[in-house]
Amino acid sequence: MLRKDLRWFFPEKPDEIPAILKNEAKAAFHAGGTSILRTKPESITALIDLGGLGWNTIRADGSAVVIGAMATFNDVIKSTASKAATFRMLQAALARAASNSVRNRITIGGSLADYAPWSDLIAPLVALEADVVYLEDGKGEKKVSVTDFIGKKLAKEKNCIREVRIPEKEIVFAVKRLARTAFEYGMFSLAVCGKYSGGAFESVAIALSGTKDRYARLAEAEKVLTGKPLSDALAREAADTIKVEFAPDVNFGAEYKANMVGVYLRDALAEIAGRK
Amino acid sequence: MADAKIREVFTVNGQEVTLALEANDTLLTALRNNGYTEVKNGCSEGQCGACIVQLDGRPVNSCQALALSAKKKKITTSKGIGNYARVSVIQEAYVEAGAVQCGFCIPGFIVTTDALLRENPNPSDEEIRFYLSGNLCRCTGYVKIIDAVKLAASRMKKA
Ligand SMILES: Cc1cc2nc3c(=O)[nH]c(=O)nc-3n(C[C@H](O)[C@H](O)[C@H](O)COP(=O)(O)OP(=O)(O)OC[C@H]3O[C@@H](n4cnc5c(N)ncnc54)[C@H](O)[C@@H]3O)c2cc1C
Ligand code: FES
Ligand code: FES
Repeated sequence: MLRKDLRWFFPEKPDEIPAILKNEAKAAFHAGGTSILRTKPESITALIDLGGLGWNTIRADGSAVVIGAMATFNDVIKSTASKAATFRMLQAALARAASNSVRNRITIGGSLADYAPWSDLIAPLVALEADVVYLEDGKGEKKVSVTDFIGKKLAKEKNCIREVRIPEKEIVFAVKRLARTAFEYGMFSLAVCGKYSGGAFESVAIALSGTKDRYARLAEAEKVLTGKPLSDALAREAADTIKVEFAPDVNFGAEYKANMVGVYLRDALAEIAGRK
Repeated sequence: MADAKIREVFTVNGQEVTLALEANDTLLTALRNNGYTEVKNGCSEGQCGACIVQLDGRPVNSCQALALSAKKKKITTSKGIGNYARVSVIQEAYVEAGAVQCGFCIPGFIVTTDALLRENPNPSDEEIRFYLSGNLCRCTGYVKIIDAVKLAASRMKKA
């Protein structure tokens, strides 16, 4: 249950944040609020709403698409800031999340900090080797890779995500998610992208989210696929290298989900081969 | 609610109103407790869309938003789109297309349809389905709802 005496703060400049963090017993950042409302942590004494900081912009800076932490999934999907394939891959992945009305609420920063196993954001960010810019303890700005941000558990209460940077590159890509119906939490998300020419990958990145360890880069499969003509047999060989663990849930067993990763990887590769 | 602690000014349906609420109230609770009962509570989980209102013109699930985060935004409920005195083209189209049975889901559909047609006055069937993906109806089977959206779109174009 969220507390009735919750204190709200609406900073208009980032430099107002450190004092709030210092003075409040347990302050949390508020973005879309959807996860805060799902978990309703009673320990939170104050919410710092990030809506007044102008962090919802999306722009291309020449080498990367810079997505403000407060941009909603629909802001990203509808943005024309970049035509780069890397950005289009993120747009394609986020368009499958939740419903239209929920996508108007959930933000990039809140989703990255929340890091839910069903998140449609994590796999593309990992495959695209995105960077995260955050304010450490609400103060100094730092930039780290998304895998470091997740791996080093930097989404601590006092680190405030400011933006995510996606390198602008021409790639081929496919994104897949396992769910029973379109509007349902995904059981896993798979993102495949790379440089592809003459029917073979020069380089490829495959990321999976929703596993027991939350996410995985499928390095063995990437190795199999690099530098060789893409065929059904090669796709099967790559799929056979996958060793990932899932937790079972009410819809799907752990083994079923693990098997489906291989099926979806082959689908993704067929899609890429068919497009070129 | 007389016993709620906070009094805060919100903009609802184009008017500045003071709502009585708690700091942990969802927008759905705050609106319903202050008389905006056209906003329906179906699931409280973001799944059904009965509670959808527009925030600055965009449909959002009011059960998934904390009320105080909406205080600087323009809130529009189905009665802000049209009411008994001023029925909107969209509401008329829903009735004429036979898209309303029990009616519980309809306020959410009206609010979402209004946002859709302002963004995209000529949506395809596919675009309508994609946009209305967060609105569930347990009665109609959706065919007549899609018909209603298309009827409203054609009438708005003529107007
Ligand atoms: C019905 C429903 C269905 C959904 N389905 C999907 C789906 O299919 N796919 C999907 O990807 N997501 C889905 N989501 C969204 C997901 O479950 C989370 O609720 C969402 O990603 C949280 O984002 P938010 O902006 O609402 O964050 P909030 O709830 O505001 O915050 C989440 C956490 O992050 C912290 N935080 C927020 N912003 C920052 C910041 N800038 N820096 C540091 N910390 C911050 C908060 O303090 C909190 O701990 C769904 C949500 C709902 C309600
Ligand atoms: S009551 Fe909000 S989505 Fe069902
Ligand atoms: S008309 Fe009854 S739920 Fe839609």
